[in-house]
Amino acid sequence: MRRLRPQALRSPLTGRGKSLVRALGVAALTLALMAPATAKSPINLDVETYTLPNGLTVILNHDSRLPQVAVEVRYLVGSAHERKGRSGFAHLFEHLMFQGSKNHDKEYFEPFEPIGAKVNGTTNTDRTNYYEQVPSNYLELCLWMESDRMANLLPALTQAKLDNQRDVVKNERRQRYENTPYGLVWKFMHNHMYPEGHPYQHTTIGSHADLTAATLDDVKNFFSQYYAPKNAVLTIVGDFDRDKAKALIVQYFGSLAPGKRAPVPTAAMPKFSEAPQMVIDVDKKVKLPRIHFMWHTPALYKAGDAEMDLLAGVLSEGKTSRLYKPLVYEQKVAKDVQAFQVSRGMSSVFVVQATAAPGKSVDELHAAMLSAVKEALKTPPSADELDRVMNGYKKNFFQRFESNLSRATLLSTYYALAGTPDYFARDLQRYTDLTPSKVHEHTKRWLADTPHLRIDILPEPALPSAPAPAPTPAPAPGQPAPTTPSLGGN
Amino acid sequence: MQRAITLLGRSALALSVSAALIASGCDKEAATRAGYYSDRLPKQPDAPATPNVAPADIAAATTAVAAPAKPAKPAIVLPPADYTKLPTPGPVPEWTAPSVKTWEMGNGLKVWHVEQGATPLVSMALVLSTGAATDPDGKSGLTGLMLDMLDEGAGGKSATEIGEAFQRLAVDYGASPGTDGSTFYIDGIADTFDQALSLLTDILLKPSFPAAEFERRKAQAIASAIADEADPSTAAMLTLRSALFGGGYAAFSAGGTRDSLSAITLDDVKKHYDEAIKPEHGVVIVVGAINSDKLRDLLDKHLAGWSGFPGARDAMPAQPKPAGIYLVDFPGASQSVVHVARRVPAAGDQDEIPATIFNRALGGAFTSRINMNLREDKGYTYGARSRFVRYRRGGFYHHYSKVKSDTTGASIAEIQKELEAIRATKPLTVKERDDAVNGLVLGYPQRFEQSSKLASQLASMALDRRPADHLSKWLAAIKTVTRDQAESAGINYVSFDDYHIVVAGDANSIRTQLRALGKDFYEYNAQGMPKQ
Repeated sequence: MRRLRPQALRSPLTGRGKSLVRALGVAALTLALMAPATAKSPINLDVETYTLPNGLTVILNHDSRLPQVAVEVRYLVGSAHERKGRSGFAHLFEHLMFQGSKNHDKEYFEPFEPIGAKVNGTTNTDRTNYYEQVPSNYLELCLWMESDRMANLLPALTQAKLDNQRDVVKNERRQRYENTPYGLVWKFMHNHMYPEGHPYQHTTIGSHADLTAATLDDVKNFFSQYYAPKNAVLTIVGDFDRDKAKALIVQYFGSLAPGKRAPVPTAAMPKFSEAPQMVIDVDKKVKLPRIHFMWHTPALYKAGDAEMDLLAGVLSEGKTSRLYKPLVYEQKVAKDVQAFQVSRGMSSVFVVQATAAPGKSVDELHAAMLSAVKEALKTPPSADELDRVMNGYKKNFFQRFESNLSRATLLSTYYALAGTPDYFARDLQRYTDLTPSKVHEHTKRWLADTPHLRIDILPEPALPSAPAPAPTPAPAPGQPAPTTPSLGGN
Repeated sequence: MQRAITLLGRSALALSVSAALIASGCDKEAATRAGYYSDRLPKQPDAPATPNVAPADIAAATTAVAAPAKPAKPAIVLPPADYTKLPTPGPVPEWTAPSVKTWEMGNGLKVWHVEQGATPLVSMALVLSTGAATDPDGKSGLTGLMLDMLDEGAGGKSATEIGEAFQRLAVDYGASPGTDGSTFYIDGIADTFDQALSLLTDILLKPSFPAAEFERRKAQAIASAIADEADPSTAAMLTLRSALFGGGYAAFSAGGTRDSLSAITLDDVKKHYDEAIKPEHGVVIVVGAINSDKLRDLLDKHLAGWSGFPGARDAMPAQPKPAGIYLVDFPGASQSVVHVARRVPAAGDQDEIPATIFNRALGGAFTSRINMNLREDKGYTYGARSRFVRYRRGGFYHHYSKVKSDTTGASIAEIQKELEAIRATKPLTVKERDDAVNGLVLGYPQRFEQSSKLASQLASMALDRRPADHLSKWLAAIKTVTRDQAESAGINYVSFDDYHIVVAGDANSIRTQLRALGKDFYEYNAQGMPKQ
């Protein structure tokens, strides 16, 4: 470890003067020591970005802590690009990218598992990414494999592969959404937060019917529309020789046909002019009612986004947070409560969710939640509340940069959404610059003065074998009578 | 990963699993990430999306970042790519894994220290030798509830004051029960480590056990147990432990059930604290941006005055329940959770390392036989894996998957076929052995990438009473395993008749499929107990 010099304590990031903020300023400088720091840019990760003549964006960040290198290929296509009747297709396609390409018509994992690589792909509303972290002397293997599937997926594609992965994806849907308690709430979120025709109106996992409907022609069209250098970002983080890596990138990707950059789906920021109709789902797989409140909030990295992140912490991190304390700690009406933001490229969703304590009815929980949320949003956070949340946030920044893979994903996310991968310092600054009044200003704008969607996931009425239910108040009109298992007299 | 099984259960901390799940998008391979979304890991708000600039602007934006003076021509020019064969790797990079420095404190606490990190992060794990195996009969969850109570008031501070103090220090604190020990975690930064240790010392030595906080935490633990009864994965794990371990050592979840938690009193908790929270046999693990001199001073300053031997006894190992099918009914479930499981020897068994190699070929990796069959050939599941879970006094080996309901019987039959094949007709190949060994050896440096993850691995080793240099010894031993050794170790564990089969799914639609397997049949409830 490098010993820190005292003057490092006077970092530009230490504005708030608290001891911890100072400590984290030191942290920033420690990272900076890995590369020449300038006065204007205390955190310099030595990120190099350029484009090949065919449009492929390349992001390089050298780091020799480990003899390993992480490679991420991000395609700027996600479930928001799907056409009607093909929900889930971007993700199904992602699976097919692992089933073989012209020059390696075998499992994608095959050459990687024997070298101890981490390999996977993920899809969300806005993008699809593929990655591998390998011993650094295998960088070329990653480029060989990624470029072959970027250029030559279709010659190896078969109906049997599509059918097999369709089944696998349907099982993924069953596993992660249908058979996980409360798992379907994310489907209801997409369906009911967004108006008909909005690119986020359906889930990334899609519906069984749409997955069934997907054809080989769909795969071919999707590939030619979205999978090409112009629509891709190649990020390499770790231990590599810069000149050699650049030459290999040209060797493997330089001759690929450019394709085109996919249009970004657009839609007006959704807004509830009045409270939307609530959604109730009665689910055999849950034992305790859970209520969700959801609001539309700004897109990732846009004004208000950082404010809402910190507000989420003020609301539900720690025993004295503004929602945990009244609902869980004092009134004991909730088993748990969480506030968080689902951050996305077009716009985000702010969620407050609480699960009823055993014996508490959904109506009791709802009344308590409503009053606690109203109270919590009324006043700005105190400087102490904000500091406590910010401390944890800053620590997480450094944890995200520890792993080559998560750093690669973060850099390409910065590129795609903030316009430059060299955004680490500014990203951190978005949080360190916040004041209670700034947070409150956005709280009022996006949450306090705005209607929310309510989604309830309720258990079925008690089974005969369960203990007698606790008395519950009469259900509100149009609402099923919820029944919660009680603890027999507690 | 050995400890993932306890992570799959309930932790004492409130988890924001949903947030993590939704942020992660749809992963191809969720099975390998089981247990990943724990509270003490950093948040990864990966919420990337399409550029927010209009399409026409993107090229401009890209060019703008590309523009900085770079040589137009690369320094090296290579011939066109050759796709006729996979590229040969360059020379193996030189690298030495950081070593674990060790010493012992006067009170019997061992210290394992790894100094590393380009960041200011420091992760600590304190492993004490009393775990859930000491929970008394009918009171499973006692160790967990006791650990949970320690920061609910200590050293003159209230529960809320302690919580806020950790937040001010940028520290994530947690304490979790394993079968063989208890682990306290501090994930923080170097500059506040002294104050964090001071708080931890109060928690360890001066808990006040307020009665009101006990009632609150107990009610919350019961609420979590009730909520978990709706989760087929948890119910299957409870039933698996019950079937394999009978009623003794390792038979119960560290989280407890609604009945066992209801039976626990505050006096039970205080008594258990007096027996359990002692430094002898304990290990302090610290990984991160702190040097040994400083660490030694801080540990002495805070923990040297703590002394004593733990007194709680482990439950005695019991006989497994009869082999057969153990079914937990989840009406309407579209998938079945399937475990095909059997007992194996404890951690440190002589066959442990060769059996790991054998397993990687059979079910331990994406391209292993069982996953290639159930997922990539049949499409019955999103993923299937096999693994050994070993505790200090016993363990189990299981093949597990979540499969579409109407393929439940067929999936178990395919697992049976794979077991029989590797035992008789399609023995382990030299290539499978090589791939498994190379994969583990070449992936080794990843273990040192993140301080908190390295601390977790070392904590897991301490729980198993392994030495501080276990990782490097393990690496050396892995390299020497031959195909024959891997086979003769693994072959002992692949006789299908020895297995317990645990299924959590929709009984009405799968009972007939299961009957066809011709095994004895037992119905269990979601608490892992025989159905009345």
